[in-house]
Order: sequence, then C-alpha cells, then structure tokens
Amino acid sequence: MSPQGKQGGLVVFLSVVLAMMLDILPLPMALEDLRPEWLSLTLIYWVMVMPHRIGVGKAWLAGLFMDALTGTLLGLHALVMAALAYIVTLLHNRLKLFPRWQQAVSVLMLTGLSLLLLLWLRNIVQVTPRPWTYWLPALTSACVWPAIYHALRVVQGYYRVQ
Amino acid sequence: MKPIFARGPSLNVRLGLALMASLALMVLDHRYQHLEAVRAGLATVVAPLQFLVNLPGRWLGAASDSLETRESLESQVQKLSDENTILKAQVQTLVALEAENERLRGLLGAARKGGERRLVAEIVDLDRDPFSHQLLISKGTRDGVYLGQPVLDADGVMGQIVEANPLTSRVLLISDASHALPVRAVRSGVRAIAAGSGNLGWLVLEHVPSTADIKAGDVLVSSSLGQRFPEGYPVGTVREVVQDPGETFLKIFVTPSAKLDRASQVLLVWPRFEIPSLPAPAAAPQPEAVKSDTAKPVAKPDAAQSEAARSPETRP
Repeated sequence: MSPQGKQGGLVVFLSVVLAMMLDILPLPMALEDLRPEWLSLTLIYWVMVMPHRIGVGKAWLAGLFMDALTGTLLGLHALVMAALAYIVTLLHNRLKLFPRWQQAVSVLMLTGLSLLLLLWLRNIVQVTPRPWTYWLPALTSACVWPAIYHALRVVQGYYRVQ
Repeated sequence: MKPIFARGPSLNVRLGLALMASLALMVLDHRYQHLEAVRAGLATVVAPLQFLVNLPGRWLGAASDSLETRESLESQVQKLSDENTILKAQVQTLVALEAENERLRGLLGAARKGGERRLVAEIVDLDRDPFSHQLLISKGTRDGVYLGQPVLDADGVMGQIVEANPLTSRVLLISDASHALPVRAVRSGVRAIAAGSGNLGWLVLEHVPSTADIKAGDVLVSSSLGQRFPEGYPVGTVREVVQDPGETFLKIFVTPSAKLDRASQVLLVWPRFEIPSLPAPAAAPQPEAVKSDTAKPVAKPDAAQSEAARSPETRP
C-alpha cells in the first residue's frame, strides 16, 4: 500500500475485506445480535501494531466501503472508524503492553464507544429506539479479541508484515 | 521506535480532515441527491463481496435440493400441479372479465391500461440493522431498475427501490418506519395511508377519522394515488380497529399481504399509470416518498415512464 518498500499491504487489505464479509454474512436471527464488530476488531489490531502504516485515513476508507456494503448513510461508518483509529493510534503503546485480558477490556470500551457514536449519528437523522441487545456486539467483540489477536499475529509473523 | 508519521500532517489534522469529510458526505447524502454516482460506484465495487458471502447459503440450498427424497418431490409436484389447475381455472374467468372491462372502457372512451413489464429478482442480502427494513436484490440499473420502482412478491406489495446501482439495488419494505403508501379499502372504498410501523408484522393506517367505514378483515389495495405503486395490488388486511373516544383518529393495524420476512424472490414491475400528466410532484408532498432517512426517492415519474416506454414489453 505504501510506497517505501513496506511489505504485506495485501495481507492487511485481505484481512480487512474478510472482516467486512464476516460483518455482512447472513446469520440466523438468534446469532445476529451477537455478531462481533469484525471490522473494528481488525482495524484495532492493525492500527495497534503498526500505527505508522494503518491510521485514520485508511480506517476512514474502510468505513466508507462498509457504508456502501450496509447501505447506511455515506460517511457514517467512515467517521466512526476514523475516530476509532485515532484513539488506538494515541493509545497504541499502552495497548501493546497490556496483558491479553486488559486488552480485551479496552476493546470492550472501544467497540462500545464506536457503537455509541453510531447510535448518536443515526439518531440525528432518525430516532429509533434500540433494545439493550444493541450493545451486545461490544461484549462479544471483547470475547473474541484474544482469538483475533492470535490469528492476526500469526498471519503477521508469517508474512512479515511490519 | 519508528516515528508514527514519517511525513504528512499530524494525527489531529488527519482526524479533523476525516471528520469533516464524513460529515460533509453525510449531509450531502442525506439532504441532497448529489452522491448517487459515488454511491453507485462504491456499491458496484462491493457487489462481488455481497454475492460471495451468500455462496455458502446457496450451496446449502442446492445441496438440500439435490438430496430431497423422491416422495417429497412427488408430493411437491402434485401440489404445484393442483395449484396450477386451480389458477388456470381462475384465469379463464379473468380473461372474460378483462375482455368485458376492455369493452366497457371502450364505451366510456377511457384510456386503456397497458400491460406491465415484470422481472423476477433474487434477494441477495438483508439489512443487518433490525430497525431498518431493507433488502438487497440482484437486479440493478443494467436491467432497467429505477429509483422509486415498486417491488411486489407473489402475494402483494413489498416495497420500493431506494437505491439503484448497476448490479444490485436496495428495496425499502413497506413495514419500514420511514415508509408510507396510499391504499384503498376494497369493500368500502375508503382511502387511507398505510405507514410502516418498524415491525415486519404490521402496518398502521394513519389519520383515518373515527367515522370511516373500516372493519377488521377489510382488504386494502394500493390506490396508485401517489403515482408510484400500480393500482389494485393487495397491500394488507385490517387486523384490528381500535376506537379510543379520546382520540380524533382510529388506530388501525394492518397485516401485510406480502411475505415480508419469508420471501426469497421479489417481482419488479414497470407500472404504467392511466393519468400520465399530473402536476409535478415537487408541488405537492408525496405520500409515497420516503419520509426521512435514506430520503433519496424524490419521485421522477417522467424518467420512470419513459424508461417503461422504452423497455421491451414482456407481458406475463
């Protein structure tokens, strides 16, 4: 992706595409509420481990494609993803040092925050009441974070993405 | 440690740019219709992903089809051929009625109602968000789909197109809280507006005075008054009429005829309206236009009709 001899851009790109596909994969109604925020998780990982390459701009672009995929207002997910990348860039040194469970708690906060932002922005356009299950994805995202972390770490090590 | 930014603007500047860009996009997308091209382009880029994601489900469906037992297939064929016989018998009477109708119209000198072009489309994707009732279907502007086009299923009106991209398009269901369409009760002829409730199970009739002749069990059909849905397609059946003496209007709940939550195929129609030249829709509020959110379909009846006129007729 970047010009100066950095490798593995394609790997990052493919992992983001895969996360988007997981985000729109049709699921049974019961599981729909539990769907983790795959795109947010993937972006959190890549921004955390290499903030010099993946930052606000690329997260914004990913969010824009997410808007096109889900048919939401153009710019909605883009804004939320950019904000998420901003926070993770600021905190990346601390996040990297955290033990796994503490990272998961941070992920809970981060995805919860992005859900809150989404809700605010949507309610500006049209107020729709949401049940408490709206917040479940934050919890499931935190639960799958250790697995995602390890999977992406293996991928990163294998393809030497840095 | 590597510097985060070897070159380029600082982090805060980047965030500011991203925020401004997305706010501008949202305002443009919501208030004006300038972003149709951008949206269509993006949607075309991501369309392969949407098809890819649905492949496993399709394979499962195909597998279960090929693994079906002979008995179940036979019983299915039996059922379908029975249904076909019954439908054919009904069509016989319809042909006579149509001819009679034609003759009477001829006597009255009224315009003939043209046949409608139809097209079957498959549902590719549902909306993740349980509060917005939208579908993604496998036909787009390449097939002549246009903004605001009515979408039906075998049993009644499903919704209308709110986003037409080259390969796919998005349907807003009549049950979405931002949708409303004019209807007519078949028994009494009372006109009303059926608004979505945000729940797939029912619609609500808005602003019906308590003296109106509407009862539970009344069938409601589309009235074509909004110049968007063709006339006479079933919209729903009145389930319950609640009369609260303290309220000015009746509370009427309607069960939609279309299988909004179960259909896997939808029918696109290119309607022809009998009164082609009404005053421009900009002058009067459009009841069928989407009320808010995804407020793109400001009606373009001219484009719609010229489209319908241009495209070859495939009469059912």
